[in-house]
Amino acid sequence: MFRHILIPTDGSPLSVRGVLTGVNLARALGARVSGVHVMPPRPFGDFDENTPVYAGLTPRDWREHHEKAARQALAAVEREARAAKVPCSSGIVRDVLAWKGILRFARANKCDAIVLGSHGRGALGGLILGNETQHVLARSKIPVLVVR
Amino acid sequence: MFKHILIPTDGSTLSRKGVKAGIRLAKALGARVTALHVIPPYLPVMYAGLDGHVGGAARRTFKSNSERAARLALAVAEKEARAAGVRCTTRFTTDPEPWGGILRTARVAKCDAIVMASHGRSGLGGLLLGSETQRVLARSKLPVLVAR
Repeated sequence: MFRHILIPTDGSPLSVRGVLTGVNLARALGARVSGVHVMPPRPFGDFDENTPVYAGLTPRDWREHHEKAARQALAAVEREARAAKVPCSSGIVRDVLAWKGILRFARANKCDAIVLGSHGRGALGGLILGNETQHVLARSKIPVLVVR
Repeated sequence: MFKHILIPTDGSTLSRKGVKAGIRLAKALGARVTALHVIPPYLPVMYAGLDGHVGGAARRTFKSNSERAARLALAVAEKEARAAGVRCTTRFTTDPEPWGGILRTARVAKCDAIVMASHGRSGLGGLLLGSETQRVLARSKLPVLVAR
């Protein structure tokens, strides 16, 4: 069945459900997993790394904040995978649009399925589907498992 | 992992992708499957043309035609399942909205996952997600695997 399952995460509690199901499925199928976090690209153009550009924050502060969030989100995937003895790698992708980054990573790493939570950070409640999830579903060429 | 997978099919070529993916997953996980076809309710001739219903058919003709279509669609799934050595039951149910029948059956039959194709009969090409798939995704409490 699936050999390499991609688990996108933004670190939110809702996306953690996708992480758990993705790792469980990989264990049941003998597959490996890749965690991916999509980070927005640096928005400050040519500003110097250490010059405050907004509210006393420098581009370096901005980058460090996002990198920390990415590491925390991916650490959750790695922790679950290790506990389930599932081979795991993880990566950070830079893209303005999370769904684009997810699909690009899936292509580049030859993943054959994506498992993700129905909502991420931009949750609007249980009724509708999360924005990025919807975009991934509409454009993915590989099967997508949506977890509530 | 999953023990009982629901596979809705409308009998279209596109929905067969969902049937195939669902049965492959069930085989890999040692799960059983329930194949489901949802029949629209009978509409008298005065509503002909609405909702894609072909008007003019007598209630009895409508019933026998739609049940034959259901059996045809389900026979395809049953054959695939038998070939793969997966335990398979088939059902059809009547509901004005396919997604409603799908979610009701998932509850009644105690399924723990749904596998369906991204598009069914009214597929509009690869760009968007099929409407019933989208509605199932929006309302399902169970994980949904969308196959392409």
